[in-house]
Amino acid sequence: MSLHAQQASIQGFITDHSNGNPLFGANVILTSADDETRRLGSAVESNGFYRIGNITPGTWFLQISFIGYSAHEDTLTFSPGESRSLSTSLSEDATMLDELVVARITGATRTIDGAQRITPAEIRRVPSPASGDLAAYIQTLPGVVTTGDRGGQVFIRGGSPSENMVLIDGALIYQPAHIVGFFSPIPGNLISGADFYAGGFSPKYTGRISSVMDVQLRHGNIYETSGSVSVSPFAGEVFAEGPIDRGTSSWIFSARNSFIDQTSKWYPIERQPLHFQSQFLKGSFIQNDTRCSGMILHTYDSGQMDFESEEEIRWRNFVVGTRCVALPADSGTLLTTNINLSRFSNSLGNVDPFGFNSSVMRFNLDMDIRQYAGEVRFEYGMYTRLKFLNYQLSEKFVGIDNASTSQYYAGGYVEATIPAANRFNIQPGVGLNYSGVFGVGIEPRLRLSWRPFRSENQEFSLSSGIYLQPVTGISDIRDVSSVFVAWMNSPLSDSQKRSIHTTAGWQQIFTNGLTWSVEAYYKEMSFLSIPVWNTLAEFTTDLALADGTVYGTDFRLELNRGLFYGLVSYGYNWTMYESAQDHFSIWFGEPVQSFHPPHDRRHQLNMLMSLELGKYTAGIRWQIGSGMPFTRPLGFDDVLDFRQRLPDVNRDRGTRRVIVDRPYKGRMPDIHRLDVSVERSFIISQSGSNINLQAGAINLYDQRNIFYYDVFTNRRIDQLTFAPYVTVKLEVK
Amino acid sequence: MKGWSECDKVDSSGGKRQRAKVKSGKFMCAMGFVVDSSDRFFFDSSEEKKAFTSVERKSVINMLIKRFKTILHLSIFFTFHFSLFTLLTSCNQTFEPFQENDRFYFTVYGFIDANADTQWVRVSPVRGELEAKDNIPEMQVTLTELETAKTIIMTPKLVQFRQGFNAVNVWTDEEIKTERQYRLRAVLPDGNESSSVITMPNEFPTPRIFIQRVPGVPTRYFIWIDGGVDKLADVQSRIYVRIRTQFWEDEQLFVFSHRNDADDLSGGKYTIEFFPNALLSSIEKQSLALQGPDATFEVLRHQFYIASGGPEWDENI
Repeated sequence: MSLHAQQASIQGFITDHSNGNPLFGANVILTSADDETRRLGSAVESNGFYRIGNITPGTWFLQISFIGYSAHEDTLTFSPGESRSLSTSLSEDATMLDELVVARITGATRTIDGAQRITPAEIRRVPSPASGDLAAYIQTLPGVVTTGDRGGQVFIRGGSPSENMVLIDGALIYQPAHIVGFFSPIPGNLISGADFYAGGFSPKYTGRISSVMDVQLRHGNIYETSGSVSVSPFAGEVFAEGPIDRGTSSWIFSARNSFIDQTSKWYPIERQPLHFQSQFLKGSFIQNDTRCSGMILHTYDSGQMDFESEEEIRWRNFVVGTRCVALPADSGTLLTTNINLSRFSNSLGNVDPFGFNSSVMRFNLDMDIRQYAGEVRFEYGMYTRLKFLNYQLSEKFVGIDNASTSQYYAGGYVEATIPAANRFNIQPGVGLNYSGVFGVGIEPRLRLSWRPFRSENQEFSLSSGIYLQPVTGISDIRDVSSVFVAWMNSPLSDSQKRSIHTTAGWQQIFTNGLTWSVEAYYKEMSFLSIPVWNTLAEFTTDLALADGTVYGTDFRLELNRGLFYGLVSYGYNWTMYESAQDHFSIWFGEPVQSFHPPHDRRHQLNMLMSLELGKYTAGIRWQIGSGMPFTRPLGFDDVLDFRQRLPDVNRDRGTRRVIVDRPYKGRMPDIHRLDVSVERSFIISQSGSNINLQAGAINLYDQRNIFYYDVFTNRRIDQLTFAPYVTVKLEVK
Repeated sequence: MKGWSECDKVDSSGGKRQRAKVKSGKFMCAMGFVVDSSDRFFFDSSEEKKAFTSVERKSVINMLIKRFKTILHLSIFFTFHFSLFTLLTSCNQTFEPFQENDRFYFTVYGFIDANADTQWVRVSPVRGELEAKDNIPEMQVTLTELETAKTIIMTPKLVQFRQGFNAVNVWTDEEIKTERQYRLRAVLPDGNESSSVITMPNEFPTPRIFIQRVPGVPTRYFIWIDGGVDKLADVQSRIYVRIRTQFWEDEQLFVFSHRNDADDLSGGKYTIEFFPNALLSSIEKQSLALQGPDATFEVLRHQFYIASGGPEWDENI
């Protein structure tokens, strides 16, 4: 019998007793009864799961603790080869001091297995009218570029928005932002935790080539019913949760609706013709070693990116899904199953006779299995997906027929986590997929971490891998504000979109609350479909293939001292596309041009501070980003089209044309902005009901920040000016 | 005991991943005090008070140092933001999107027709604003026959379309000869110029057109071009129509191109199939859209116009 076969293990779920939600970050410690210096430990993951292996048979003292909660202690005797399941919940200790609770919730952000673990407390630190929203938080991360405060487009390390994967409880959401950029369809009070991978992610995630945001949503409270209502000039929100069957099942509901379209008429800002709404409902069933949930999410957005234009963009998300996480008794196997349906549709202008619309619907069934062999962790799984893609693009992308297509996609993955010499974690893995359109695709990936001082406080990490994407979201990159996305199979190539990531990073955590990390990255992207460079002042263009190269560095420095939290993040990014197009030969004499695409923000600096001042919480965020590329005009003329017939110069008016320089040679001005907020709660009843008041301002010093330059109309469109706000929130318990 | 018992718990737990928090807990224990929400110090037992007394001075000093550091950090942070605020509120970058244009001065559209009485060409100086102005810009446009060096100065004319759209066309009624080369040259007052050389094609025979209906549905006809057209530049149906409404009547021209439907039979021969009912249906739709539901129309005459391009004509246009 091998040594591993004789060793025992323990695993289970740790939850908050009051509501059944995972206690992400809680500590599970085993101390040997024979030798108190011998300890084994593990931290609870975002889904509440923990596991400790390599336990020598015998008697051990178990302690499960989390600051702010009463610890759970027990004495356990393990027999050789035993795999024990132990799930429990911790009760909040009412006698705990506020400062300790604060210390718990203000932990610095950690990067584990290449993922940045995001907690609700971190999300709440960012001052915004959304009062703790993932969309506002993600903008503070280095390597994340947003083009402005409307549209919700997020570019991560040179990738385009359609190359990002955002999952909520395992279900894909195609457009995870509202049209007002600091609101997302996922309010902070729904989030249990999120894992963010800016690159170098596990083969568990397939189908996107840029980044992954895996959001775990809260379960509703299984014991108490509570709710809240909040109102601000930007939006209103209703939130409620409670038990279905007390102690075992719960529901949680949230709905948002924008007011800014109406309030901006009398509010001291430019009228904002932007509207959004979202509704979310989730039901959860929680047992010791099994938790199943079902959720439904609907969002609808509409509005004008250019307030002077009548062109309106509209989009709608519909997501319905179920997730079950189970730990079969004493099996040591963690099973996660997701069944979900995601639908997204968007349109621009009027569909008939001129206008564009596109929709995609995805049915997904997947299963992830985690098992252990000694200290080696194996994760593997399989999935099957069926997608229906529709698009009607008359006039927008000439050469693409309006069509409805479907795509069947199936695959699997396996990844091992192999600890070595107590200093290394080596994670080789591979994803394998098959689609009727592209055949077989293989995605080998490797991740590695090295703790030179045998402490998790200093860690070097490395990752590399191949990433494939079978569907393409076509946007008009000539216009950075273009939110419309046409989803289709790769229209110009027999190959899937592909990228190769390589990342290398260092993270260091000091005991005085200071943390810093730096990560360098390099990406090669190929088979990107982009609209051709075109001079006509109308959206009529063909598509061309492009290759991309991206490199950069993300730096992050955090200071977390009790009531004070400060963050400085800096991202350097260099993105270059190379494309061969006939137009280039005609205008520049060379068929191949290299250019920085319009989301190539070279430098971005964010500073965030939050401070507890007595009963007040203050937040300040300042951001500065270097100007983004645009194509400079040389002048305007009028073009007569010979493609259909010989024009008659006395009868044909012609079409206005902009004569432009080489693509994206200009840079728009730098943007910078200061957002502030102050918050205070007033308790209004003994049950804990309270009123929370938040006062703040967007763009405090009223900086004139450019959103984009419309080269076809020679107009500059700016972002939000100084916008003060007050948010009132009533929480009822 | 609540304060110390919590410390004991934290102390005994250990474990790597908890280290940062544990150290925080140890620190508070060693200091012998914790801070409650009202910012008061408190002690939990007389023994602990004694322990505190023994380290009191050191603890207080450490506490003061800690507070001083916190205040220092805050001061630096606020000062930094205030400085940035002051600096940036007075800082606005200018934005000049235009690139200086030293490459393109004019754009020229149109064609020279050896069979036409008057030649019309659109000549537009590249401008710095979106719309053309309602006057004729300062420029001179000439047409030179290269073989004889005979130069014609073309006359500019301002054309004003609906919705205030302006354009400048130049014209001449000088005779244009086949199989000759011409240079069209446009010059600005500062001497910058654009020019284009046009090679006139050979004279080609009048094409034969079958107006014979092809059996079957829908109704269709054939145009037969029986040679001599090296590069087919256009095939147009020009339908002259009288439109009547309750209040007025007018004669209008509708032009339909069949060039992209032409089958190249090689040797300068082409056939073009066309569907007259489709053209009439299109005229009816346009008439109704423009003149209202009570509009009626009558076809006055139907011409076919066939153009042959010179050697530089791009057949893949």
